[in-house]
Amino acid sequence: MKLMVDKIKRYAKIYLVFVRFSIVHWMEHRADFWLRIIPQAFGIVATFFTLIFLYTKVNNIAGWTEPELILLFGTFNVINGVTFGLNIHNIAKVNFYVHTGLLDLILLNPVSSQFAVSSSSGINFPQAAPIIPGVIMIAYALSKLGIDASFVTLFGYAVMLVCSCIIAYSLWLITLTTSFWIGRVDGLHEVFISVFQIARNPIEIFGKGMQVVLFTVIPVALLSYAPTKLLLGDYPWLFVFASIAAAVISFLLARWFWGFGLKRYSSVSS
Amino acid sequence: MRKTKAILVTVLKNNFEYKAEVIYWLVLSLIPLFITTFLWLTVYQDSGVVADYTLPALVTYYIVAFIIQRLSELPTFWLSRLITSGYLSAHLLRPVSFFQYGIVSVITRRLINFTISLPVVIFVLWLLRSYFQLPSGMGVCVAFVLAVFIAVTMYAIFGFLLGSIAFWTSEVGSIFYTYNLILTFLGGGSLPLSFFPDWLVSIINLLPFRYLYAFPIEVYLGRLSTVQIITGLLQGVFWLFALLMFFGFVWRRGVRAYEAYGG
Repeated sequence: MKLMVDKIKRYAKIYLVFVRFSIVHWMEHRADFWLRIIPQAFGIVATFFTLIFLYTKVNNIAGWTEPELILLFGTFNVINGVTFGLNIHNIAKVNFYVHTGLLDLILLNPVSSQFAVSSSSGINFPQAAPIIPGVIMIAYALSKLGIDASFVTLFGYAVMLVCSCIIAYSLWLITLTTSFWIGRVDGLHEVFISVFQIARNPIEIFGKGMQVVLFTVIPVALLSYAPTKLLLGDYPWLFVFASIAAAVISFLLARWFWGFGLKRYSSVSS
Repeated sequence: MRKTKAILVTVLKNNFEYKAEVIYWLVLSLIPLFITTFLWLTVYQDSGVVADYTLPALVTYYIVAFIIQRLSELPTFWLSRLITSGYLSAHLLRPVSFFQYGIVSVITRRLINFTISLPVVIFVLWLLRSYFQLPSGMGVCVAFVLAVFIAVTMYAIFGFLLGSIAFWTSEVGSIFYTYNLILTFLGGGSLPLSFFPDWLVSIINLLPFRYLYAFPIEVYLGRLSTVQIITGLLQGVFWLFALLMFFGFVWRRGVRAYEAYGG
């Protein structure tokens, strides 16, 4: 047990160093920071207005009213911000590491290789920006819907969001781990990003069979749809445990798959 | 003309090698198309007409938008990589202007890509066949082809414009996706302009973006009168020249900055 605690402490310390480096990086490149954050904001505004304009012509989409869908979209943006802020400039590079052989350098480090490829560049702050408009949208939607969520519900919602981020991370890593077999594909991470976009839509728009897939095999429905439903009071509290289970399973699966892929890796030169 | 032909042959040779990659990107781009279609099918369950579009017209709108998207490309990364790696120098020494080379190669590359992806596109049309509408006549077809040509060229110029930022800053990657999103949104690629409030439409009408999606698709769907089509095409050409001149201005300054640190 003590060993475990020591290990966690050590990894936390290393991670903090990575984060400190990334803070220094973004403080040094301030123009770059703004150059990235402003278009991000435009992007969110554009998607948000697509939704608003749509609702000027229709009353509900798959049973969702406008504030309900804003709640879903806000939730999606929070998860999107966390996942991209933490992972876009880390995991997205895995394919590049594998086909150039740069993975050798990572494997030589005295830390878990999965940890290293997932975190060595720290946090990408501009990519994390959608969290702010996300929270604003959630607050706005909640007040407009007149939902006075209890502490327990809010806590359950928060737990589900954490689980969503773990699930998203795992799906992303699994996608990129396929690099060990398929070789060089520029933009392999786009596979994950395209599928991830499903999460901002009401799952009801898909057929029954597809819905089952989205809750189990590729659990995209758990990312933002499930927590939103919990806040709206359409789900019993027990669903929180489904999210926790899914997070644990997908994380273990990603971890196993990474190790399995690593066995196939033989560097490039020899 | 001979130069153009020479470029064409080079690009053709380079691009037939990456068939697997073309199919890979194509399949990926099908995901959003199907999400949108599913979304609209649900919306139309309650009503027959939304914002003066029937369901078949709207699905066709998105299919044509998808085809335009397959035909066009923002050659941003290509240009920015040439600049940051220094390979641009080799292009600057060639006896063809970089822009001519760029435009011709982008358009041929897209045509090749499109040819390779034709089976998949036909499969999509077959899947959505109960909604897909055909153009109403020969005249519409000709106007549509011209409008698509304007859209594809304009897309390339927009891509080159963003790519030339690399003359001054090394990173364009993360702006790219948002840039594309905004072009698509203002161009009517993510939602038909009929859904937009009037004040925004009157602003968009003063800008070049609608020539990327809204104009060619509305031509295809037969939503525009002959006069509107002709003035639209002329305006589109006008915008192409205006953007081209702006790009020339940026390019000259960029090359100067490039030589400054290239030594």
